[in-house]
Amino acid sequence: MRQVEVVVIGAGPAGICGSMEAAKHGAQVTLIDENPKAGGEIYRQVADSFVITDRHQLGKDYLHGEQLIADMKKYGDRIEFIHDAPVWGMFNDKEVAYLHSGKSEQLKAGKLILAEGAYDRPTPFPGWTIPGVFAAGGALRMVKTERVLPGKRVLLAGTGPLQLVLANQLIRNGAEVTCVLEAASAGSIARQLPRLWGQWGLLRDGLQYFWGLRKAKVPFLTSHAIIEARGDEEVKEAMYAQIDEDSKPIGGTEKTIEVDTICSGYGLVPSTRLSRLCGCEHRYQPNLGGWVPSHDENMETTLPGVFVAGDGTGIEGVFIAMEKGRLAGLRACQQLGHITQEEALRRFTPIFKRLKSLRRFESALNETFSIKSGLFARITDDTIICRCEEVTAGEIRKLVADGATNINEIKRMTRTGMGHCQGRMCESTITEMISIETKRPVDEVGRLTPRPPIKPFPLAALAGEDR
Amino acid sequence: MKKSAEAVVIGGGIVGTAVAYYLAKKRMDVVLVERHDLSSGTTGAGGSLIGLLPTPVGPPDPDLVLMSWGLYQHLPEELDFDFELRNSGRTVLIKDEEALSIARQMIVDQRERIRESALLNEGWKPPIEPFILLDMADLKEREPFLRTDSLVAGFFQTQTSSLNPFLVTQAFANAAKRLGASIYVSTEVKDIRLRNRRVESVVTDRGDIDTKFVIDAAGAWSPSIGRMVGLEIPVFPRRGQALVTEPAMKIASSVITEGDFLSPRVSSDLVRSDATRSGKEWTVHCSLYQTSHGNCFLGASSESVGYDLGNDPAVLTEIAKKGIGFFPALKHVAVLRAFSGLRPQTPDGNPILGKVEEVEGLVLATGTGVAGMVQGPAIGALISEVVTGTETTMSINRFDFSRFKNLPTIN
Repeated sequence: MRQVEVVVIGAGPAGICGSMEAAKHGAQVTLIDENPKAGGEIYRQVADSFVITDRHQLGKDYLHGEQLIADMKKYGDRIEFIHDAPVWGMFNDKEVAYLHSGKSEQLKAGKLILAEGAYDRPTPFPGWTIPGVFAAGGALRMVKTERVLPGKRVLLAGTGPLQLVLANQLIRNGAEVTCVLEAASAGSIARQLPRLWGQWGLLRDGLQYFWGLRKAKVPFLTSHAIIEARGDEEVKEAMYAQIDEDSKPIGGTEKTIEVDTICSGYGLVPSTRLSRLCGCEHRYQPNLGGWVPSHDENMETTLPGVFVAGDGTGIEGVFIAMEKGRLAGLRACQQLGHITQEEALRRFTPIFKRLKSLRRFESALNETFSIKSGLFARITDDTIICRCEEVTAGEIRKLVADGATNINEIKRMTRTGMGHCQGRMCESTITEMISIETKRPVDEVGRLTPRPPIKPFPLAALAGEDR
Repeated sequence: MKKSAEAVVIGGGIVGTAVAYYLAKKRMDVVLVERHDLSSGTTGAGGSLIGLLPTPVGPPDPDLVLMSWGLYQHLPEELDFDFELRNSGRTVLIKDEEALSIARQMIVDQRERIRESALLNEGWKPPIEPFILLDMADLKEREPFLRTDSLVAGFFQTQTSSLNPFLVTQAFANAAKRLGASIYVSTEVKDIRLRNRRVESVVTDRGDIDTKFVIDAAGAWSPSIGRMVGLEIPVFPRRGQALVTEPAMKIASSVITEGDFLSPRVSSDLVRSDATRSGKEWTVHCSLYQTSHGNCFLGASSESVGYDLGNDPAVLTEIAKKGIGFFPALKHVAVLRAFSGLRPQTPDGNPILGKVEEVEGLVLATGTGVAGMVQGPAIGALISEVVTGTETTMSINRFDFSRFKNLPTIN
């Protein structure tokens, strides 16, 4: 099996920075990503077949990403980038199995950095499975890099700054945005403003996004959430309502509006398939998006030589992701003996300082735009929770009422989590529902057991045969 | 949690839940303790087939299998639970002439056994033709997607059904609860207290339970229970890995099994266990079972790796290769998940059932090897008879723990 000094899985901002830091200090790095290009989600690059006439149309993030990827290319001889290569499993000690050109390959890492990223939090509400309902992150990807509008007359509902970015992109590209529903209250947003002191760049960006909404006369309604999507074969209208401090809908405030598209953006969930699969300990941190791998201040997990970085360790945004990546890359280099402990400490110190300052802002964001249990009150019994196996909330609630106390019992009895997504879309919701109904903390209701492959792939590739 | 019971069953798999049910049916005050969840062990990792598993070296025991089969026919009604019991039959693939002649003889022997055993089960009528020998034309007609290049013949076992292992365990547990049993999950047994070599109580991480009887139904982990009372139970974990695919079009009309277990050497490898065997030796015998959903379960390996429940990519590759080898249409079907289970194997392949001389009140119900699901209900019923002192429906002397007394101790 091929051995590589440092293997980084995930070529988003954290993975790229981790790779660069490791390469900079003397390590040989292999960076693996399932996409055709580096960039991950926030820095996702458009396909080569697209002709870009005005790069500024693609937004600030895009340009940052382009620059970062160009910087990484400078380490060409030290960073081997394997793209179009989904990692499907991890075995023994840091042995990574991935697909490449239709075949399964393996390599063994001296040090491993997992930068799995995050994905849109699935937030069920009645009608969320009707064609025309999108997750905000997915819709943003469509607009930014696939240059396709999700629809013509759009309603956005969710919480946090991602919605603002999406709204502006939609407006800029000719969609009609009817309104943006923000679950947080105006008061809670205002209360966090003092923490933004010093973050002038972020403040300016935020104001620009708000100004974009104002100019297009798009209402931004705080303390509001979507209650239901309606339509037969496609979305025809949305019902929304005012919500209380617990995000519970206030009866009597319901309004309906005709739309053909709904973008639901209630935050992100850290992707922890690989970190769970290789056996790292995890802990439940709702302010960071849910279950996250435990790690020390240098991003090393409970498994020696296995590091984590980026939003996969907790939703803290791109700048913190990059710093985490740098810490992991540096520490891996130190462990490999490429730099001494003193040198490492000298380089860690400014990173810790930047992290401290960035975290002041990020924690304010996470607090303000956290998911509250009242959002689950809109889930009716006929709302589908497991989309793969079409299991409804009612079926799950009945089992809990009959005595089921953990998610694995629900899984065995209903097949939730046994479909193609292996629980990505339903696990967080089901554990929340069990927690609410049995009045027990989420970290006591269990988790699904991760198994390879972490994403489905054809038997022929596993067998090593040509299709 | 209850502080006392007449019987405590350790282990929430098919054997444990069946024992708890049949004991509750006999009005015993029974508690079942399971350290994780019901069927979270070997039961949930495979074992979705029941039926006679013919092997030249004997196990699994045909009488136990037939008794179970008879019980299974009535269980959906008796437990008032649909656990997806479906008779699909099984096609065994025969690769060479030697295997074919062994198969022919075995079919004759098994027909005899069934005829004799039919007396055991009232209300169960044996199928007129439990085994049908298939020539190549028959095979191709029955299984159009099967690649037959490497085969010389096959035989069809009419008496094989599939079921949902999670649901059948839940069915037994629910029925046991309705009859007064208490089922505690996420509850781990830490110790068994004896007084004058007599069971006194079970110590769990949630409290103690005073009891007269302890039934060790902990499968691959039953030796650790045995050690709590100074007993060395010769059960060894034999890992099996398998794959499950996304729902696919109907590729197989029956359960398909590669018939290499017909060779005595291979069969011995499957059902016996040599605890000194190294983990490097592993074998894969192809089996394909397609659920009513369309998902294909592709198995399965046989390995000695201790209690390691992980997956090995080399083994998974071999399983995929064999599967595609017999069903080329599977090439484009995606694997959703790999998993593994630990078969509780004994030195002779037969289970270990019944009381033990050394400890009064301890009853063993373990060592079911490849045939836990197959033998489960019968073991449950028989153990309930042992515990309540009733005459057993069939003799279980040959499954007694004392048969291992003269074996050298294996660590």
